[in-house]
Amino acid sequence: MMLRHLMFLISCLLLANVSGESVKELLSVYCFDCHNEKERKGQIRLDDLDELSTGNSHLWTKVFEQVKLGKMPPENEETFSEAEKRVVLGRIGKAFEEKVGAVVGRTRRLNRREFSAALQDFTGVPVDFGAGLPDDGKVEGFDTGAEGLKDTAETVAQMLEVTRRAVDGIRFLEPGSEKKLEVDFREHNFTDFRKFIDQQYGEQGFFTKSKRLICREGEGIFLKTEWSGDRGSSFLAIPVPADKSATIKVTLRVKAMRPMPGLPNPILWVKIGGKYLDYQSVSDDGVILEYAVRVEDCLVEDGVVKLMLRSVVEMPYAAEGFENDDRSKPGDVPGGIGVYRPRYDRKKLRLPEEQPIPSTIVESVVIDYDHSVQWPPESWDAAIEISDSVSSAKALLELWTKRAWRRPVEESELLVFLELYQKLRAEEMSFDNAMRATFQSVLMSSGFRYHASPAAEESPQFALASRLAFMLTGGPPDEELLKRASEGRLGVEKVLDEQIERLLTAPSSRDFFRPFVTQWLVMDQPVTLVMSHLQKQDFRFGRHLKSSMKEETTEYLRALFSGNRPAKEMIASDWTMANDVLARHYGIKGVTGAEFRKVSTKNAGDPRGGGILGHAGIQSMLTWMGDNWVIYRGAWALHHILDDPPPAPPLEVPELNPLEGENRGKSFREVLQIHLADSRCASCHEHMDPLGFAFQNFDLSGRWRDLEFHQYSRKELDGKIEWRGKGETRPVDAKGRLPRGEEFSSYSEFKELLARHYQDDIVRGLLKRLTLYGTGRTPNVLDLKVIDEIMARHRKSGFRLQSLAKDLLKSSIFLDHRNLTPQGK
Amino acid sequence: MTSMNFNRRSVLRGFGATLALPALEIMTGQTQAATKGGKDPGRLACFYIPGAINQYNWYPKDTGFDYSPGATHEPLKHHRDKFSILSGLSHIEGRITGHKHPLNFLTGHNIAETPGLLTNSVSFDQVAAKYLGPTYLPSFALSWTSGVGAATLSRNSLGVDIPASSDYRKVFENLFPPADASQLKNARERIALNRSILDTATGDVKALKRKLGVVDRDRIEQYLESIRDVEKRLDDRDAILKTGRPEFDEESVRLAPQGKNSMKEHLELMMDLIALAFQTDMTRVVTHCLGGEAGPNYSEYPEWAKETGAPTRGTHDYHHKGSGNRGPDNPDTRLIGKRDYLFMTCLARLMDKLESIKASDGSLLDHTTLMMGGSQISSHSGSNFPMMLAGGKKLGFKHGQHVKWKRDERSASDLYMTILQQLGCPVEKFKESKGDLSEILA
Repeated sequence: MMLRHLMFLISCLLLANVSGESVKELLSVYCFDCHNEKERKGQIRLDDLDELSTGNSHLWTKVFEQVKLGKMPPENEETFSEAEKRVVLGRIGKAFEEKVGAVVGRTRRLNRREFSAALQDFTGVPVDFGAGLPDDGKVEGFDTGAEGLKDTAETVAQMLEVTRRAVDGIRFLEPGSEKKLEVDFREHNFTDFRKFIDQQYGEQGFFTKSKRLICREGEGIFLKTEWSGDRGSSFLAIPVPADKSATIKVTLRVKAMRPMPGLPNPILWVKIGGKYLDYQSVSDDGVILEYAVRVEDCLVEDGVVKLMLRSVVEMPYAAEGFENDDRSKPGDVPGGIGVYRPRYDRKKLRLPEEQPIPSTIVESVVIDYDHSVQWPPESWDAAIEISDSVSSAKALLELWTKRAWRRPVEESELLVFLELYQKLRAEEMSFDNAMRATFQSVLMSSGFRYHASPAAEESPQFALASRLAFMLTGGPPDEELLKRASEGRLGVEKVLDEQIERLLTAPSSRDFFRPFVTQWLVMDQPVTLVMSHLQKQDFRFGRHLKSSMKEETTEYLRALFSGNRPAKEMIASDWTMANDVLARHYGIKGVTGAEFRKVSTKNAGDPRGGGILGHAGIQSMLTWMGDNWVIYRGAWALHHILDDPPPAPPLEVPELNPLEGENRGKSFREVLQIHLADSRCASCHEHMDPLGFAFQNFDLSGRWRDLEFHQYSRKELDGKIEWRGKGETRPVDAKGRLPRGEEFSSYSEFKELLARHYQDDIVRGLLKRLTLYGTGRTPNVLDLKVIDEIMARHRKSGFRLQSLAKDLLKSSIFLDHRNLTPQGK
Repeated sequence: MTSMNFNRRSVLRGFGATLALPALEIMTGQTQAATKGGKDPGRLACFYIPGAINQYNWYPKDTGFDYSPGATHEPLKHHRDKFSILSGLSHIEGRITGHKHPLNFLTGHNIAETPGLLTNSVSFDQVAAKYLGPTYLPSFALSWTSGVGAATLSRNSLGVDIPASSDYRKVFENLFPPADASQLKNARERIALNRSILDTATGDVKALKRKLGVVDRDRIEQYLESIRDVEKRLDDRDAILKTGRPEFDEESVRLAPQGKNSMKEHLELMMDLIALAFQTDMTRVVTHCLGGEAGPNYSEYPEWAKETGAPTRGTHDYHHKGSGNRGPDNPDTRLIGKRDYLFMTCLARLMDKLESIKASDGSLLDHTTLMMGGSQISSHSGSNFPMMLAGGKKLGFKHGQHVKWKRDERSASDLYMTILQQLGCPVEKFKESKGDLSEILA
């Protein structure tokens, strides 16, 4: 630190001739011509930029970054001298150092995901409570941004409602509800499911429209296996109370029956109250599945919530003696439903065990339609004797508050809430209801609602435990983190390293990688949404396959971090993560089972090789305007991979049309060339378009292709524009150029160049996003400096990802070291 | 449906009353104030027209009181002296491009200023809501789809989105206190309990606030303020619950559309709910985002497209092609004109309804300010808003004219501030306002 200050002092002295000018004066020379009141180029105005404050720290950071990386002023404009540049950067940096505490916030409220995970954790009710809350505001696409997570009367009112639902789901002295349906189908024999339900459970209000399901003693109900497609009938209709306020819990025991070798496992699609909850591969040994929903979040039709169970095969297959009945037409996107099923004669082979089809068998079902759980959960070993007494109430309250606030609680803090309990009891409220209301009050306090600041003077260890847990597991801290925090040892570097590594490699890290990767790479866009198949296209891909396509990227990055692999492998490697349906999609042989595992692309001869850019989930979602849509692919890569987002399009955007004027009869590449002649388009498209050509080898389903169409025509349907290939094909032309001018002629060359020359950009982009995701703020000038220091330390060893993450989480970006002096040793 | 279990009729039926209900006071078409002999307060409803408009049919060629209305405003001709067309207004400081216009239409904030970070400020309807109450609901936001962001027009004092709803039933259910006595009692008990829960919770929040840095303290202060707002609303609500549910013909309220995907029907149902809400005085402020910038595809579109000869496709696309200066005969432009016409038909329906409801003096329309407009004449542009103002004669508006200001002479904020002042809100300024628009005042 001292050294840096000294250096700055020296540089200031050396620059005495320019240091007299203020930053503002320098900016006025080089920036105001474009960024003034009238021009507002890139919709940015700098001439009225005041001194650093809370409101403009983002803009100052932007100026700092653009000047530092030499992106602004643009190439063809007059720019800062090196000396001037140093003055500008130095001054901005100094302003941040002086004021950062005042301009950068460190605390924020829980977002919807975290709120739900936390409530599930300490109520023990596995309901997605967040379903009742509105979407969170986003900062650069991330749902953890503090600016997007403000509270208003509306959010507080909604939270009041949803926390009520959460405490409604627990009980203390009250007995559990009798409202239950419990059937072990293995004890029954019937051929008419509807009649069975009517007779046995009709009085309770259950019914079904699935008439023809058969049930065999010793086995259970055979669900008819379907071949994708989106229509299905309900399994059971579950009655709900008149006030539509209850928790429904469904427990299923299911297994697969595969009567002959070569059959895939069926996928069980579970839909409750109008929403799909799961696509689960069903194993032969059987599995117990549990789901819980709040009626308030469900579609209620005529006083019932529908449970839909569908057994689906999503993978083309054949079995011995039954060849695959391929009904696809030339030009169909390959891999669709037409090719799923094997050929057999339905009339001859009538019984499930004779048919070349896997079945899902429902062995038993338990439906708790007024579900509540005894609190505290047994697994906590809380050892509290519950009786209708103040001491009992206090013990319960202490346990609840500690979990809810994620830190130790002081006696005085508890007493405030205990007073509420006592007041309610005095008003003749029952023990359970008074406890619920008191618990709810704890949830409405800021201890639950707000993340503790790591800069907090009190319990900084617990604040850190929370911050690590919510970032790396999506939920509150576990036993071990809390233990380390209470020992006061989380500030010890070795302990912190161990904990970060433990969390990054645990199964719970999926709840970090899934939301982080999805938001970083904007992967919540639909895949295979191509209009020429609007009637069938999207449905040609099973839900399990589509979710697997996205899971590949999450699992791959998770493997990179937990294996501490070098950053280069994000772009280029010789392996990927796949399960059976995905391997089938790529044409990789020998992968069975629904779980993801490491698969060599080299051995499989897959021309894509490894690296996230070749993942089907990404390439398929980027082709929503057609398989030649290089513009969108290029813009996406610039923004999310190279950390160089193109600005918003200008006011009047002329549309690219292959049928208009001189575009007629030209290839897509030629049409783009003409488009570049328009100076309004060129300044951004000259970077996007040549980059996008790298991905020409990927078709609509995200798979590799060697041929592309020579020409494309523009089609429209229901507001969606799409370019469709027509006429002759030719070998794919994937020639293009990277933003700094490196030319490539194939996808593999592109990856090679990217990994060699753009590693810094990619790693910086990743670290910036991890900073935003983890701290809730976009990196400011000081954070950017820390990121640079971390990168300098890891450049030589090839930016190993877990090591990078550890250093980032241990840096001043995340921690306030002054607060974390280890107690103990 | 179960949610209707507790309306007045079914409760009566439960007691064996089979005869038709006697005509209730309010069914005769009076406002709450007229029934009770008070003075009617002002109301405000703001509507946003998504995408571009058909400029040829919207803008009158001449200005002043003798202007000849364009084809778009033809459905309003019987209200000619009750509305005005306002041209040339826009957000001067807050000009943006792209598809984010609904975000700052009522706020005037330049949301593009900090890249990657969405900041916004209060929308003027919420300023009105602050001063026009208290009512059972301070305001409500309607939309073509439920949600925040571009789906809603309303932002609270921090610039945070107020979620909008497209669910008629939910809007209706939230609009009134329960009808049945035991439910009313439950509701009041729940309010009292919620009050205690929040009271206890804020003790801890205050303690936390003292320990934080400036920015974080602000954030916790926001939380405290929000809790206080909720507490105040609970109190207001309780006061209204005491008087119970206002009486009106509940069975005549239509809450389910017959068609599956009809924009017209959707808007009609929403307009009727607005009239009902104003009449029963359950709220005084409503915003309604009439559609999305990129859709949705209503079942009317194929019909209109067939009529105009435009290809069948969605909103975003033909707005790009049908806007700008492509001439009045461009089929896409004509298609947009059809949509604009529909909006005016629905506005006329609302004006008819409000006009037919008697207020303490004059009609409910005379006490209601209706503002309808958009941000774009052609695609993505944010200059020269197509705007119109209707109703509010008793609030001091002078109508029946086309007023045209020079570009960047006056801002939309000037209009918003003028409306706020006429509604009696004690404000001197809104966003970039410089003074009232005297041209539209009597």
